[in-house]
Amino acid sequence: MRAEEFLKELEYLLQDIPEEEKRDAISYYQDYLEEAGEKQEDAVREFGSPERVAAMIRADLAGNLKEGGGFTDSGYKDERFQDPRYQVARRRELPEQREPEPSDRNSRKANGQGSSRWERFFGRRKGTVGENHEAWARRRRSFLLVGLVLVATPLLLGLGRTVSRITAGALGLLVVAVLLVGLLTGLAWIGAACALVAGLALLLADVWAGVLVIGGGVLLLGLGLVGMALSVMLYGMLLPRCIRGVVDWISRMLHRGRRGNV
Amino acid sequence: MVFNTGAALLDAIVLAVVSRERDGTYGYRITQDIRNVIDISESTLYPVLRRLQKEACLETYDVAIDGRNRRYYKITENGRAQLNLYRGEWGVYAGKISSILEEAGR
Repeated sequence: MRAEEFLKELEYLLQDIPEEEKRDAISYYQDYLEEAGEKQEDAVREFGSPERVAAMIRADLAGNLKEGGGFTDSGYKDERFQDPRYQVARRRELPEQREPEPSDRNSRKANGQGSSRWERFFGRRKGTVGENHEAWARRRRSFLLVGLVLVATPLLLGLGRTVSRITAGALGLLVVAVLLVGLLTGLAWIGAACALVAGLALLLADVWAGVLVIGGGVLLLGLGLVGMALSVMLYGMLLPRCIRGVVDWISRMLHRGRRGNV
Repeated sequence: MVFNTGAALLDAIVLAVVSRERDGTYGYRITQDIRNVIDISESTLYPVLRRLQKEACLETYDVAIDGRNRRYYKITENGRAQLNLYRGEWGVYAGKISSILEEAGR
């Protein structure tokens, strides 16, 4: 990479920092490369990638530089900056061991948990520092929060007898209504079938009575069809959406908590 | 060489190198001087210099040379105090490490 490329790329990468800081940084490296003269190419190579330098500058601006890296004899070494897509994030308390990532994903898949849903739930982000360390802490925190919600809900419902009775009653009604839809649909279908059969039989004896019963059967059939549409909507769409809503709400709480720490 | 140079130690080194020049010195020169002693990447020093400047250990002034700008860094009184602190700390620290390494079993 040549000097101008490097500087242009660096300027692009530093767009998000304050203008004055950016100008200072760019002019430093620009002057540096001009001073280097003939050794400019070597200098650019020594710099490493523009992403690395940008991450270093950003880390310094955020006051994070002292935590992570070391100026080794073979150059500035900080494992956080190895990945060019790395976004500087503050480390939290970390367990000592590193969880090997590939086996971790496989074990979760083997447990029958679809990776996408769980990954969304726990919010795995690619390229985050000490990703495995963070995943541990994050997962621990997620379980704690979900457990808290599960335990707290009955407690919350326990507060205030009338409130709890009303909400319990309302919830009960909802549950009964949902179940009833399915039940009634089934009954309507069965009734329709019986009526149609009986009606056909009656036709042989008394035409008008038979027609009446067949008419009733057709009516029941219509009700059964409506009931089926309702149940499909309820069981197929509303319920999963409710469950997903609760899960998203919980995970959003977790996300908020996480961002608050960063 | 095997050992890490932590951020504080590098601060001390930079302050020491800059303090040698009465009228200050500039980024490229500082880097090359330090690279004569320890191996650091050429891009390493900018955050260090910037931080020392924000902490008022270094002050800067610009000189126009050949139509461009050269930024000089000079050590301040604050910086000298900090440097002396670092030198004292380093003496103690290096002494302790040396004595432990020497007392090691044969």
